[in-house]
Amino acid sequence: MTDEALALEIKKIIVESLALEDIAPEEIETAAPLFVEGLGLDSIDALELAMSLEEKYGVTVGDDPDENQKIFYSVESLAQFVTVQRS
Amino acid sequence: MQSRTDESPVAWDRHTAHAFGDFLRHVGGLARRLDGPAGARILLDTTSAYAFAVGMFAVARVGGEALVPPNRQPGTLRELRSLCDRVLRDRGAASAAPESAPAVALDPLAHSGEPWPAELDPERPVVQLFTSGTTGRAKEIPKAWCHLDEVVELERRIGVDLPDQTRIFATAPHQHLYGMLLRVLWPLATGRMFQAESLLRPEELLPRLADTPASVLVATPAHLRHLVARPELCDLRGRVLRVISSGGPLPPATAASVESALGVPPVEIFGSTETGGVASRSQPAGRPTPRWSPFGQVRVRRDPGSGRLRVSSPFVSVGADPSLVGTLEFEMGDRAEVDDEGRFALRGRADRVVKIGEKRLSLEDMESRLREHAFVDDCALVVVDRSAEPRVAAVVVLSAEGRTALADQERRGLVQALQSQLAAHWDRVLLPRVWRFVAALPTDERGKLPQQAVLALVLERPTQPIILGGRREGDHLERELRVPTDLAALEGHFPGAPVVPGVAQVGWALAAAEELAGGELQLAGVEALKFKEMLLPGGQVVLEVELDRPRARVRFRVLAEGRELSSGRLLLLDAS
Repeated sequence: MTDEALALEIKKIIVESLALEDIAPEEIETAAPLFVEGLGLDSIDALELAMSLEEKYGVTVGDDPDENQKIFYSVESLAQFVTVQRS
Repeated sequence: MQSRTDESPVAWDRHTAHAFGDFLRHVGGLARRLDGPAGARILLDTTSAYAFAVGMFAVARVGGEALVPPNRQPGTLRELRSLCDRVLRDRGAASAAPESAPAVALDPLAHSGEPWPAELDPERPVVQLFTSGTTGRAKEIPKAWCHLDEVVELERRIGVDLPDQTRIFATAPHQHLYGMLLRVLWPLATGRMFQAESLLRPEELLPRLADTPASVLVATPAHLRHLVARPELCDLRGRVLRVISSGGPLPPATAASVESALGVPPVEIFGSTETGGVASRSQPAGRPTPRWSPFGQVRVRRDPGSGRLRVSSPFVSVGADPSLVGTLEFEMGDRAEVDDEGRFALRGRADRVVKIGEKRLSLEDMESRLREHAFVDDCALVVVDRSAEPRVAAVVVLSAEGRTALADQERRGLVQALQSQLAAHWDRVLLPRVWRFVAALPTDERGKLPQQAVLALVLERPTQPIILGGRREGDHLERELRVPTDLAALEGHFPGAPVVPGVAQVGWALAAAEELAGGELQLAGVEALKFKEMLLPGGQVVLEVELDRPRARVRFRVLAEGRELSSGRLLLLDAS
């Protein structure tokens, strides 16, 4: 899967699993922050999203809160994380 | 309870353990820096529970009062800052400070000095907590040490039989009373160690619990729900000795999962900011849910008029007069039935205060903030249970200005404008996630707002497409639309192969023409209708509408990637 296709797939997971109303997957900027100032996701979304990503890709994050914050920063960082974990 | 020396650890933060002697020196050093007029109000903004403890005791030492922000939204911090003389902010809070947060702040851990002699005046208010009241705006709840003395009762209920080296882990925030009591004050008072960091993800928490021979987890139902989904939880049997849950009702299935993984049923605590901890219970799997059993020194009764639970104890602080200490009574927002032995069962909330992600929200308070926006004439909020966690939904009657904004901009811009009005004051988890814009709110025969009817509006499938953007020139409108996948018109059309019916597209064209006309239009007929290609749910299209006033007609086209999917003319009775 190309980076772009993976990024789009993650965007679809975000929109569907979090039931976002006013945005299509294609409209999420790959490099923009997902939480607070960017897409505006919150702490409940963070847990839901982690579960959806695990279901879909079988990936789990590590035990370092700072590192996890970096992984969940944007679609780009999530895609990178998924790629590295699956390779 | 173990005896404590200077070297006994009290907390650990990432890789650093803080010994009891360090703690006293941190408090002493900070108090020296803070020394000023007694009664000073100091904002205590922290992400580390250890920095919080140092700040709280140092403020008490100088005879001040620590204001504890209920959340870290810019509007909340700004409002509390205006009530304060100084700000204490630890490194974590400073690195995640909203832009509007004041810059001049002391780090509670940057000072070390003469050890604090650990003396306290039991009856003077030391912290100000904030809670969303049963009606209206956030209320200040002052707490003196005598109110927080409840840790002795908590120890009797949850602390017995725990080994000396037990460490306290928490997902509950230390800024709220439950977290403050259980994750900070209880370990401090009983010589146990607490984790200063908040570990919110199961992936962060589980390995640390696995490395700890004996621990207690102070959690919230939302986090426990995610935690029990982890198979590794079973490996912690015999290590995690007690799980405490508070902040909202714990679903019986989650309680059962905790028990089957760890071998002990979780202990639920019921309480509030005003009352402190009121009662506890455990739900052993396969047995009927037991009643709540009040803590020592706590008495409860059912108010015969309102049916609500009335709690009296020395830990109650109602906020009216902070000098009032002793046994006070407080009427809670929860309805209850109390048995002869003083145990009780809860029967739901009596007011419009809800809990989402363990955060208390007064729907009335949020509605009144929303009504302050120029786009809003009226609104009603309800809670919907769409995903794993309940969420707030907003039904809004737009003002003329709001209707213009919806026509000119896009729905998303309008929603964002309304959300940012609220985001200044509430945690993001409380912000409405579902928005419906309606012509009028439903009313019942008494002129009251029927919650069921509001909920129905929210759950109703949409009839209109989602407006993504567009432009208007005179009587010509071009609009980018997306077809919602749950569009009402897709119902039965057709099972397994949903297609947007032509009549729905005609309806959208008419609605757009009404916007151009600025009022209702009467449809006399349609002609030259062509449906060349199917319009599928989720599709993105451009709707072109032209209002021909002299000839009382509307021409419309639906396009996708330059191809025409459908077109036609609407004949009007009158379009002048």
